Amino acid sequence: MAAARTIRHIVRKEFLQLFRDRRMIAPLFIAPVLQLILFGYAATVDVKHIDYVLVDQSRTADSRDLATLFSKSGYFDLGAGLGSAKEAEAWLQSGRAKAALVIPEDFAKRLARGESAPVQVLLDGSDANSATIIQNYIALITARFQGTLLARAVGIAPGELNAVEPRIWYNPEFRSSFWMVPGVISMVLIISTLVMTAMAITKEREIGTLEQLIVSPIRPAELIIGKMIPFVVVGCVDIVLVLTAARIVFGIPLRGSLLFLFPAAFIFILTTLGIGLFISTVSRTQGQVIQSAMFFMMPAFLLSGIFSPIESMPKVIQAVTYLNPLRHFGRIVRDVLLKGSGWAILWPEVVVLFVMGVLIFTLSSLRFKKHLG
Amino acid sequence: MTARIRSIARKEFLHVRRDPRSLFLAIGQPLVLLLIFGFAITFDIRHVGVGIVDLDRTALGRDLAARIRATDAFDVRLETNDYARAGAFLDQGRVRLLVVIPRGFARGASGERALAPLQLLVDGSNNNTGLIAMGNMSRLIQDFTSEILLKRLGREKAALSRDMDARESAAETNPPSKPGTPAAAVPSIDARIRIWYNPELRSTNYIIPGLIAVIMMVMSAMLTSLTVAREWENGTMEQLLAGPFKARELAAGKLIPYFAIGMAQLTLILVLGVSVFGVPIRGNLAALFAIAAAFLLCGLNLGQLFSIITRSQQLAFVFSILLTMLPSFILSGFIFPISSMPKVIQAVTYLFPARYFLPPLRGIFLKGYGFAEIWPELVALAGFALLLFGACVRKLKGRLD
Repeated sequence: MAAARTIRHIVRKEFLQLFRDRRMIAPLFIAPVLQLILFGYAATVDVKHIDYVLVDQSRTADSRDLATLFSKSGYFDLGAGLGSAKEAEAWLQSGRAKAALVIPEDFAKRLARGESAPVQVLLDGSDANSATIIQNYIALITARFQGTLLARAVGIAPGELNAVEPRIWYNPEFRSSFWMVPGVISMVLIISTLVMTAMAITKEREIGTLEQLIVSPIRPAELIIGKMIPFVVVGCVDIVLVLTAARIVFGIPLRGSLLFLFPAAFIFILTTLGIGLFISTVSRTQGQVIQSAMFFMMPAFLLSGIFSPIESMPKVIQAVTYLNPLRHFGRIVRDVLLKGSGWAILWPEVVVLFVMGVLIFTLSSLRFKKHLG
Repeated sequence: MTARIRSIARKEFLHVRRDPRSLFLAIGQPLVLLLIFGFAITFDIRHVGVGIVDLDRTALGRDLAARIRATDAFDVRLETNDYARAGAFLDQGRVRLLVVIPRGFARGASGERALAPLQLLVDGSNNNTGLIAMGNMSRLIQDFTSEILLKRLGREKAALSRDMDARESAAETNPPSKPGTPAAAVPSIDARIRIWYNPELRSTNYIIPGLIAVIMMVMSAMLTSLTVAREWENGTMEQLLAGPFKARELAAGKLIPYFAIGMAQLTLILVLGVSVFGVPIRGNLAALFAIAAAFLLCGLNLGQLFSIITRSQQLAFVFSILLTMLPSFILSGFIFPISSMPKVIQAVTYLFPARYFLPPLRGIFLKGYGFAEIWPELVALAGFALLLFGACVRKLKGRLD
């Protein structure tokens, strides 16, 4: 009973301290929503509106057909326009165009003879990521052109060749916000829980008030719990805020159950708070907290699978990503929102997070106590 | 005046030196990032988990399965004729793509000219992987069905079998679009793709310039975001104010050590990028350092400005994360192409220094740019830095009075 009262007092003090500076509201509550909107709109890896130059030396119905396939694909913009081969090279060099399609003079003649007709594509490879994707687009477009040639030869309509019926689940329009936003939720939580706790504790150490708390009759466990609760609350409020914004701004569905998502988020927060507490025990100044937090956060973000596919990473790194709480929680949020999954499918992730959370939290608490003693 | 700037700089240097761990982290962080990016991050979509649901159970279906298994774009994780089980695999995320071979697929293939359509079920939750994997798979299937059609045609004309063998071996290597040797009667298009500046499309070649921008922006803003706020929190600011320093001397002196650290980081990344990852620097090295220095000053001044305004390390840090780390990741064109963003966001990118740094930097590395090509951005960044420095001085002056 006494413990509960002590904790309540510490929580009250922490809340007062956290919000005494009204400006804290911005980073804690407004920033997450801002981040969400930024990521949701800007963080799209699909390459669209690629400026390309068309150098049509053939000027035949066939070459126009091919050019139409390019412009109708939705990927390419003839922003740079038509040009000569020389202009194409100059525009590529200056960055005005990212790609050039050169259709040689004998294109139609070769096709009519039933031969292989080469066309040349020039690509700016300085952005390797986009270039890879553009390559894929070009392959798709030429395959489509090849399809019409084949259909013509076999004597069927090109439509009949289309032997694939794709059906897309969970995110039928391939919207990147559907993928990014669940990832953002976990990043936002890390910033508002991990970094803020570690800084709050270290700040007290810096200005010397931590010593006062130590000489008071408060027990270390009560101190830790009391200090953590406000950040758990902040984290939960953030989740609600971000989920609501995701719904309103991006129309992201919630197909699963909040009754599953919130306990899972709580377990995740336990992990991040544990890491925050750990960082605070190894840092003397807030500057060190920031350095250490960045040291953890950057790799954690980058190896979470949000930005680049985990399947393509080297096997060793793939193994390492299992230790990344962000990987597991990111999957949980995504599958709950988009697929409506629950405990039956996601239990391994929850269990892993739980074990991680308990381990880290206990370890850091012990360190924290030793630190105090 | 210079002596006073020097003394402030000396004091700041001592702060840095007294805290070797922070210095170590400041230098070590770029290395870790470089290694992660260099070795772990690729945006290639390979080894996508695929399930094959063969409801037809014929040799043709098995041929298709073998074809899918042969490419490294896909990992076949499930072969079944149980539709419901396959759906569960998709739900659990164990596969991202299901190829459903319908009943009557082979009969359609040998009986009529057109084939019974195959069904693709795609997990769209990751839009990028989903889209690319779907494209790869459609192409593979199209190649496959085209071959069957050609075979049919060949049987009619009894002339194509030799060409088909050549074609099959060519098709093994899959993308990018190699229609292979054309059958005698069927013309084909052959796209010869030539990639400039980075012919092997090595991702380190474009990631390392981007990484330089991110690291310099983030670390510099972070380093200085604490300087003034720390002094306020510790109460030493009053002492400095009591000294004979002018606002601009204080602001300049505090930046110098962090400028040195930033340039050291840059040099370190350059050396590593060139020696370990073999990234070429085709342009003018002096231009590179000049524009990097201008960019660094933007970051440092930005951090200091937050620090002066908020007087709180916590707040200054959060602001610097929000206004430097995220924009330099997202709005600079580092990972996400600016041309794909909505117009409003594209306009917003011009408000952040990273936008003026990354394109010329990539140009210097890969396209051989020099001062002649980058001067507009260099001027813009220098202007930014001056503006921010002016703001720092004005705010600091306000605080001094």
